[in-house]
Amino acid sequence: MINTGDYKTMELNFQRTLPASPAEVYDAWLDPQNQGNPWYQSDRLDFKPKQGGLYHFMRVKDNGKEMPHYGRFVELTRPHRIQLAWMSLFTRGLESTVTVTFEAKGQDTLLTLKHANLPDDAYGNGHKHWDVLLEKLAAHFPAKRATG
Amino acid sequence: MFPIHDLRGQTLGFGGRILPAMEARMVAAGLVHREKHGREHVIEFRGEPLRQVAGWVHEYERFWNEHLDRLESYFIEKRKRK
Repeated sequence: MINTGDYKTMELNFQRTLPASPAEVYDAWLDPQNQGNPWYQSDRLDFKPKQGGLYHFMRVKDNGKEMPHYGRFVELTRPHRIQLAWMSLFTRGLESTVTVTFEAKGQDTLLTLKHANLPDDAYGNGHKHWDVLLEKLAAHFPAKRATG
Repeated sequence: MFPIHDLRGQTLGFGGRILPAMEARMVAAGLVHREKHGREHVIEFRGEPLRQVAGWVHEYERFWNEHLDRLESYFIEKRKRK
């Protein structure tokens, strides 16, 4: 676990059962030609999966905004587990961690993805949303505000 | 965690005061947690209940769900073809 000091962090968790073997899903997850992984159709891509190696990919959104991502392959254990260090605009300079595990369930695979060490202010547009939220909260108490 | 005077003065903009009734309602709603550290009262703002109510979605919640949807579609189609 990365020490993020006083910075408040959060994690997101996802699970999907996929009709394939763990090895098939593992390989697909690291194949930039596969539509189901983050590197697919990157506008720029430096990606050679190797434990300890670095990667970079960038998408350019329709509005022209560039979304660069940088990171490191922390663990590549075929076909069970992939762990990546992951940094982008949305991690606010923190090194977040993406851990993907692949567990056989009969003929299927349970894919579990955990994205940890994300800054806990990143709800869509980040701080702006908190400001709007707190303004709305304050607006709920106008009478109390006047009399308190 | 924010010292209560910081939250009152800077973020909520109540002229340096948070009202007891307002704070009590925020505590009851699970939006803030209050602790006493020595002589200082500290409140922690917890946004999860509001996030649930407002339906806000973290950028990466959307990002990963889209990718996993596509991965699922890929394997469903692949198995159909077998």
